[in-house]
Amino acid sequence: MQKNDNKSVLKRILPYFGPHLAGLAVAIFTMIVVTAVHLIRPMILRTIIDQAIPRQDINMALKYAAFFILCLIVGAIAMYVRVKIMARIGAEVVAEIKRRLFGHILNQGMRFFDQNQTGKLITRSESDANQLKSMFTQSTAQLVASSMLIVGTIFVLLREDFRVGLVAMLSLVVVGLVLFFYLSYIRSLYTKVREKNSALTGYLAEYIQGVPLIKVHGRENDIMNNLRMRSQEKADLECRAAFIEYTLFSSSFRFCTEIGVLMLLFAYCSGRVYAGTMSVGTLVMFIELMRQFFRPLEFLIEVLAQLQSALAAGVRVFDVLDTEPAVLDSGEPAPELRLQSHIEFRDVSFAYDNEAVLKDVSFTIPRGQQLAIVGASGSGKTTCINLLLRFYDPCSGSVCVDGRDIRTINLDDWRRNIALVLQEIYLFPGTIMENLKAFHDDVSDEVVIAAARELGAHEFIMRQSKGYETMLAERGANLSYGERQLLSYTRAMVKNPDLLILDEATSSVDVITERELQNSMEKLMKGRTSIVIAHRLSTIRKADRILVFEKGSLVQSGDHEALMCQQGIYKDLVTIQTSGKCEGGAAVELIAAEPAGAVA
Amino acid sequence: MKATVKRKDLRHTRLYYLKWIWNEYRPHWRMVLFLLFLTFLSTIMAVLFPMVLKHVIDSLVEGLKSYQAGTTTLEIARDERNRLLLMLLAMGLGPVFSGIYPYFRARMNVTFEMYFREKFFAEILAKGHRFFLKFRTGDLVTRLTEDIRTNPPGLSWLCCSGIFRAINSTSIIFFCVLSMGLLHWKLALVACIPLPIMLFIFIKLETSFGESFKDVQEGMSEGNDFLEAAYSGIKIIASFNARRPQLQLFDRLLQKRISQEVKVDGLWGMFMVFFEFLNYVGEIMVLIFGGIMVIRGTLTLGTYYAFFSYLGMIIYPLMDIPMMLVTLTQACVSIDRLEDMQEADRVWQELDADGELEISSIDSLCFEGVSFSHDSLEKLENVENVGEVPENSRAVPFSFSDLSFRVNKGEKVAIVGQIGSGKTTLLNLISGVMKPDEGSISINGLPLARIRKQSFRDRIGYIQQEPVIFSETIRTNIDFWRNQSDELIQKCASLAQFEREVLSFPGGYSEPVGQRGVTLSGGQRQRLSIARALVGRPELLLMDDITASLDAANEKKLWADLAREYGSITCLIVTHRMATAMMADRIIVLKDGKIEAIGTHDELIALSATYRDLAHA
Repeated sequence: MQKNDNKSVLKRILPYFGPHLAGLAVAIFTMIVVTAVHLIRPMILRTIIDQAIPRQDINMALKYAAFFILCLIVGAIAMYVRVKIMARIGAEVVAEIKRRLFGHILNQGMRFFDQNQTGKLITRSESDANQLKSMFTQSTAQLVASSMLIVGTIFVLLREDFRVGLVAMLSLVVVGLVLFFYLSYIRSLYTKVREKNSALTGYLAEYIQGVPLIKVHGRENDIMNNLRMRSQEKADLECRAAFIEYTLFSSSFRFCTEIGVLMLLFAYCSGRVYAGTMSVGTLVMFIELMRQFFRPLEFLIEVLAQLQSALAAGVRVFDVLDTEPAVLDSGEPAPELRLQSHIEFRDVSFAYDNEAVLKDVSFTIPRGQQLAIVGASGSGKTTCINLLLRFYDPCSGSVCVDGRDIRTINLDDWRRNIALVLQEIYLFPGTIMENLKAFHDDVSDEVVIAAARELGAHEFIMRQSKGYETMLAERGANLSYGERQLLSYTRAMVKNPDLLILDEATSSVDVITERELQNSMEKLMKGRTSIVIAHRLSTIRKADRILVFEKGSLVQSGDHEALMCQQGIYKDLVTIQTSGKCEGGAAVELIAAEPAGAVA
Repeated sequence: MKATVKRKDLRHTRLYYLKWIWNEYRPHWRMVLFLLFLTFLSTIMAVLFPMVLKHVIDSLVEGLKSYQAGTTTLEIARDERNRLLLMLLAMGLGPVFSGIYPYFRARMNVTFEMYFREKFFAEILAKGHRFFLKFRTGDLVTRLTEDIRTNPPGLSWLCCSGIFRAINSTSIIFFCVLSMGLLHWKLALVACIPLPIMLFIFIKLETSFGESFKDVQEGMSEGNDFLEAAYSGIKIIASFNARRPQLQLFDRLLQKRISQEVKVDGLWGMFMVFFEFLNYVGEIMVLIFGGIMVIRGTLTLGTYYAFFSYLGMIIYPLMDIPMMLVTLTQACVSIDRLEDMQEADRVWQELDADGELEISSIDSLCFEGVSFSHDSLEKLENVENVGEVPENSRAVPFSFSDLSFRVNKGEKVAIVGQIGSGKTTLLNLISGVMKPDEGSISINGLPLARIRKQSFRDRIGYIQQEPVIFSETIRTNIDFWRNQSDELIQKCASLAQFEREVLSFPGGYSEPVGQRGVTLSGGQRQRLSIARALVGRPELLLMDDITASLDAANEKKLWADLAREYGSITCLIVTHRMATAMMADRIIVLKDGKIEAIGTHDELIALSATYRDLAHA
């Protein structure tokens, strides 16, 4: 995978502008117009001073003034047109990039999501892409405009008075260098300030969340002192930055570029005015030109820095666009595929980052069987599910359906037959109905409602403000855990798959809710081939068969009674958790809760 | 740049807010006075500059005329020039000063930010539990950071930079106009005609820009939510073949954003256009009329040029003023929000006055007829981040009624019940963090409300279900700023069965955790929390469901160790693990806000249907 750098980013962005070349041309033309207007103004002023006034020619003055007004109008229109055009081009180009990025990320395999946190991906998709946009709509325009103005000014100066022009060029270089170093320094300082800021925000969040704890232990004063200390650190850094920026830099910079330049010009030019080789009007023009000389230079250097970070953002964006999915979708289409007879794991081994997670696992699941998988955390249960769904592919061995390696089947067609229910409930922005349909328009409402009724979700859905058309606020945060779990089951039911994969929840719901969820779960599983990563004894007992995993190997297999008769890890797991006293002990957790979304 | 707030969104008149800010100025009056002085100086410096330039140019023109007429020599001209150069040099004070003034403004900004943050954080510290039901952590953090920040402009910025820049701008405009009037009042009149128009246009633009920007912000937020849902739920999207539908939905979002962004950029463009070109409108007037006057001899060249300088100086302050107005409105919203925070749950603060009685030990805890209810939200224990009342919540008020029981020193009491039966609330009532509506809670026969808080809290330990960890070292987290000895800390860590894990970190007890350090697992956090509670050498230990951190065998060990080291410690432990309940001396069964039964395990199996249910299911 080739690494991107700033230059290559520029090359790769260019094609996105293809459809917008005409607009770009117009934009560039308008920039030239605007620059011309900026340069004309001092010249008109000079003409009036040097020619109209001495000649006492009012008509000439009026003519030039009228000409100037015309230039202004043209310039204003040109600038506005430019802004509008660049805004549209920038917005559309970036939207296209975001679209591609999102599509590309969605196509990635699980490995990609393991290596890239959600927060980071959102930054890529949003803030990095937006930085690219600002590059088009603002930075580039500013860059071109400022450069043109500087070049134009120097050109005019050189033409008028070679020496003044030279000195201007020299000062350009010197001031430019100074600005460059200063700006990089101050930027790093402000980066530190930003870091301190976000650190402080983090501390504040902790302190506020900890208020009850702090009060119970009587630590209010200590917390106030901590806050004060951290606030002070940040404040000191900010004051230091402000001191450097304003008192040290800004005053000396402005002294040099305003007063210093003025003094130099005046000293040099007054001699020439007296000698008769320069008009007063020219002096005035020089003063005006030099006064608008250094500001574009400042903008230019700032913009270069902005461009640099925008390009860096671009590098990050294109790096994502260049990643290849680890799981190749090279299988044949099989839209009519159904599970006919069995699923088989043949000598499947899988390692994650050189850590072996599954070792030579083999088993068969006949159609219609209710299978439970148990084992301690890290024993490989979740991996089996991930391989079945082709979130990863095995390192050796194969997963087969009806004797056929699932890798030979088109990914979408294979997954159409499986429904996944995870411990953590994922719902998406949209209505309840849309979520239950998994956003497929071709599913009828009736099917959804029937499924909801069957699983006991219909009642609480109808209780919501708009029933099925209620928009889920914050992905269902206002529903209870039990209700969200029911939606998750219903979504699976609506899909009506041949194969159900369920990662049983272990969060401490109370016993009554648990029982209701269990009922729904059983209805969902009825008549379907089901694989359940089970944590509850009751679920396990009802399974047709249980697979026991330990450290990546399949160590025991059979139903509950059979396994209890064997000396092995299963019996130990069950015995430890139940109370020594009676059968039918409390609903126990067979193993300690796993963090949701574990790899293995 | 924030979204525009309309005046009707504010709760009070502008005058109210200005008075509010004035009140906050009082403790800082010296700084305020100093800045006023600097503002005054800045205005003078700024306004003098064109005058000096005028003088320089006029002198040059006069000198030239005299020289050409033969009435002066080059030497005199040179002396004159040097004098003028010195004058220009003196004007160098201007830029120097323009560096000092913003610096002091920045300092004041920062000082105010610290001041506000501490002030309002202290307010939060004094609040009761109902407050935290109304305000999410994130929301409170926002109020203490974004609302009061200095950059981008928030309340602190406004209180200082905002107001002083507005004063500066207004005075600059005023004195510029005045100076122009003094120089040549007819020309000044002509030059100033566009000014009010410009001001009006700028104000209009700022407000429309703000409104459009709000749309863009909402669009961004929507986009972020969408992406977050999609990326974290990728397994579901992949397994349900929902990629294409998601792409289509995203596409629609993007299209909406494009039109919003173009609109905002367009407005910004208008702004820039006016800024660049409107400036010159006044100049044109001067160019024409002033030029005519110079030709007629009624205006000197220097004055002509001075007018250009003054007009050039007015444009920035003219832009500043609308910006201030917008920021002022923003800041008023922030003031409203901060006051909301202050006023919320005031009742609690009044009830929460400190008692005067001292206790030297905790011998008994007694509840008599205690009743308590949450105003609107139920399921306190199941909700992680309670904020505004969600639309669809079933507003079943949760309440305790008539709780009575007694716990004696040394007893281990388990508290069981269904989710939502109020177990955590019970612990909170005991710790004093919540107060009963009726009835009384007493310690050693003394009412809890009359006992001095520090005296009571030094003797209790509380272990939360969801422990809070601070971004400090492990040692500081356990010590919790109580300055205890390393020995005690290590002992408590080993009692909590946490020590081995601590030593497995490279930094040991000095290992930083939290934001900048290692992330602890749920179980580790809880074990740390147990150690933290034990370091206080508590006599009363309140534990809210520590089952996640210790399996049954280890929990047994904990109890044994506790019995050995803290022999007479009284424990109240909320649990849903039957093994734990069975080890307790007594068990309290909560149901529907009442104590259904109290007794030992065997007694309750016989007596309580609820308990049987919980035990068997």
